Amino acid sequence: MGANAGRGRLLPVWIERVPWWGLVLIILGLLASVRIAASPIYRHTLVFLWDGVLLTLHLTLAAYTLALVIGLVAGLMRLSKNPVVYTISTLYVEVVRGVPLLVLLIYIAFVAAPLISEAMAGAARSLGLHSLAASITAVIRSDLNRAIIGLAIGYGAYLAEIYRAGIESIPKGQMEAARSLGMSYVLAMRFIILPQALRVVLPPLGNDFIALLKDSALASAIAVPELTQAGRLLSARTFRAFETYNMVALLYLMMTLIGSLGVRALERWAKAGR
Amino acid sequence: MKGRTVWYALFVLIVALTVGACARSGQQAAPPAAQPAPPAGQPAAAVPDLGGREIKIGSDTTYPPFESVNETTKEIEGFDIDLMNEICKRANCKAKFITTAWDGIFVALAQGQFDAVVSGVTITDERKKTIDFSEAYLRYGQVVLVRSDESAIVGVDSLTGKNVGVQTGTTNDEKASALQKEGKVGGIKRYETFALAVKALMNKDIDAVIIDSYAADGFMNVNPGKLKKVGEPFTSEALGIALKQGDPALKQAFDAALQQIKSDGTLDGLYQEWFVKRAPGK
Repeated sequence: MGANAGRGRLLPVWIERVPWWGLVLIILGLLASVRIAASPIYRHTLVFLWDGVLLTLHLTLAAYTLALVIGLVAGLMRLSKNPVVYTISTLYVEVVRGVPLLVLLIYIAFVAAPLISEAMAGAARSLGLHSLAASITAVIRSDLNRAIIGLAIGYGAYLAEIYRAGIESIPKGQMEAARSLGMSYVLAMRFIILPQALRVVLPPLGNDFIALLKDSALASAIAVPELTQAGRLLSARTFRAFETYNMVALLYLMMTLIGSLGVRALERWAKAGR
Repeated sequence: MKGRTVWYALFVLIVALTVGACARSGQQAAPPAAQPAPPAGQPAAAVPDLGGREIKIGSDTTYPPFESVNETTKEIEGFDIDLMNEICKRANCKAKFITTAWDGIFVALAQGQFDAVVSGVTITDERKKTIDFSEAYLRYGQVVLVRSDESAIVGVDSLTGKNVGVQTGTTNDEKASALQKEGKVGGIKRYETFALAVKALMNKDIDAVIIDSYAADGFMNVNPGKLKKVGEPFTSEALGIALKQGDPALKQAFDAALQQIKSDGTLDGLYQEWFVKRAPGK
């Protein structure tokens, strides 16, 4: 606001304040729903794709939650002065960022998961860790879980860098002041640094949520029947690629737009405290 | 911030207009009227000359022995390739194979990205609505492929409660879906290629793969000792060359050439070469 105060205005303030893009979207949404309601083909398409939408949301939310945890741990490790801890986390971030997500997913589904299953069978035989081995094998047996783990590992590396940058953006004096008041490093991190860093990292974290939602389409390559695979299946069966991919794109767009509304709200909330 | 909002609104508007325009053009784009069927090729009829025309052929080259990429030469090879070369020898054309994903292959054909799709394509009535087919060049049945140590699955009737893998959008996918509806199959896992489905089978992610019999042989050859076919073939289908609708010259030439290849024994030779000589265990 303040930065714009000196600028000559073309339009009255209230016109600029109206969220026009939101109105356009609402009108567009209404038009689309009328078209969908009126056309049996689109209705059938929507019904067919609906399970895919639910699975895409499930996949995205689960993978993102896991990625937030992996990212925070890896981000804090990247800030560590301990060379072993720093090296491990840097290795993870650099390797995962250097591999395309699709390759990572295929690797996990067709190479890593079978190898781990075998290793677990070996562990159960020789070390007697039967219940642990059985539960790990059960988790990675499902394609959905493999996709969740793959996406979480991939996005964990991106989120780690966001966390690291956010924490580094807090002036050193804050940590020094907290430590001089007698707080331990962990305590200072938890109550002084992280709450401030959270504000900085919220918008990029939100953006990565939307990016993850879109990248969840890659799971179709490892036999997860999410929205993209449902679309492929339907267009292969009906030969109606036009209607199918219109609907697939519209459904993704609706999910990402709702997501970006959430991100805007978060940004506003983060700014309000300044 | 404010300037950006305006741009955002403008962008959404453009998207809205584009979608609207597309939707309208979609309604107008009725499928082109079916071409009158060319007269059936008479035995020993002369093969029309295509005048050296280059035929762009789309193919999902992950499907031995029909088409696969040779590990050392990196050339596409297989029964379908030899067949097309024989056809082009007679019809005076040049077969140019282009590797593409199975997913969307018929849409690409209908839109004219290829002149033909030769990729072990089954002739179905559903497909005939948007694309044309040459005469059939090979009959086959679908079979159940399992790991060689499998004992519980002995044929298509013992798949109840089992997880079955297929390639998305194939006739095998359709058959598996139909079996699932009847409760004769537990779950279906859909992969982008049969190669990945077979890999998942060997990794024990799934219990069986439903696949065309000759392709089953192909994968058994690539993975000796690890796979076996169980039960008898449970469908009877035919493979043909998929053609873009509205290209009667190509269909006539291919059908006439196929007639000749069938009657002079060339097709039998190719069959021996790719399916008998290279049958599993030989």
